[in-house]
Amino acid sequence: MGRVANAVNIVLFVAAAAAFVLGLRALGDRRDVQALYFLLVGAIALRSATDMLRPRSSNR
Amino acid sequence: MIAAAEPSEALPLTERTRVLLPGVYAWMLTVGLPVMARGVRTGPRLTAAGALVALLLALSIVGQRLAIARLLGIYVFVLCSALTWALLGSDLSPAHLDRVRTALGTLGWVLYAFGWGRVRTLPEAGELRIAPGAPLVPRSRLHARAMPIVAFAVCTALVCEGLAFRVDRPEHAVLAHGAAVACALLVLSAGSRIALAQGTRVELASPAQRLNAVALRGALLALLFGLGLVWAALR
Repeated sequence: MGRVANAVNIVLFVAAAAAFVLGLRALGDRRDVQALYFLLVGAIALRSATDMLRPRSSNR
Repeated sequence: MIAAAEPSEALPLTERTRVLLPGVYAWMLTVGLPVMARGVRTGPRLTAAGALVALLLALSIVGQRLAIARLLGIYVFVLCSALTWALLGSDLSPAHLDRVRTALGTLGWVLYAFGWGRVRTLPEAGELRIAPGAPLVPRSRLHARAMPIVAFAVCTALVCEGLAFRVDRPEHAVLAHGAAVACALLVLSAGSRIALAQGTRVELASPAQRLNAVALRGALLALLFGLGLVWAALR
């Protein structure tokens, strides 16, 4: 289960990075709506990836 | 008779000097010298003097009343300096400015800002300031997966920065450079955190909790992915 969580974490991070690259590439190709779409997807994916790294709560 | 003890929170002279010297230097080069020129009216001279007085006053009370000292030494000092520049008007036009002096003055303002950043309240003797948080982990060797993740993050950041230069529309180029910097910083920050979390002794939440934490955003991502596919198919 821990390996699955780690794999999902890395997949989300890679997806976010790829989405950022695609978004900036679309901006250069004058595809503004696509750029916004990819940047939004990247932001959500990266936030998800970092949310998975929260340490165990000490008061539980 | 017992002599009056010095306040325990009084800052050492080096702490004051760290703000005083750059502040006076920046004031002298960028505010003092322009108002000392011939033909300058009384208004700018008064505001310039006010700035210097505020700075000196702030440093005299910085150990006892840090909030007031910051108000005087940062806000009043900068406000009076800016007011002086505004009142100087055409006397401060780029044609009348000495470039070397301006550059040195800028350096003075930077050092002044860093100097204020170091000024802090010292804790009372015996007072413990322990911030709550996860226990710190001792140094250990990085996991084998860590380096590829960091390398990937660095490469992605560089690619993002490079892609911003492909945007040829002026307004969009500014947006692209801003977005590229933000993306690069976010990817580097997240990449380093993920790399450090690989196989270390950091106690992360349980796998189920970690997966549950991304359930909602995962659903949102799936929805966006589906919408993207439909959009691509319709085009």
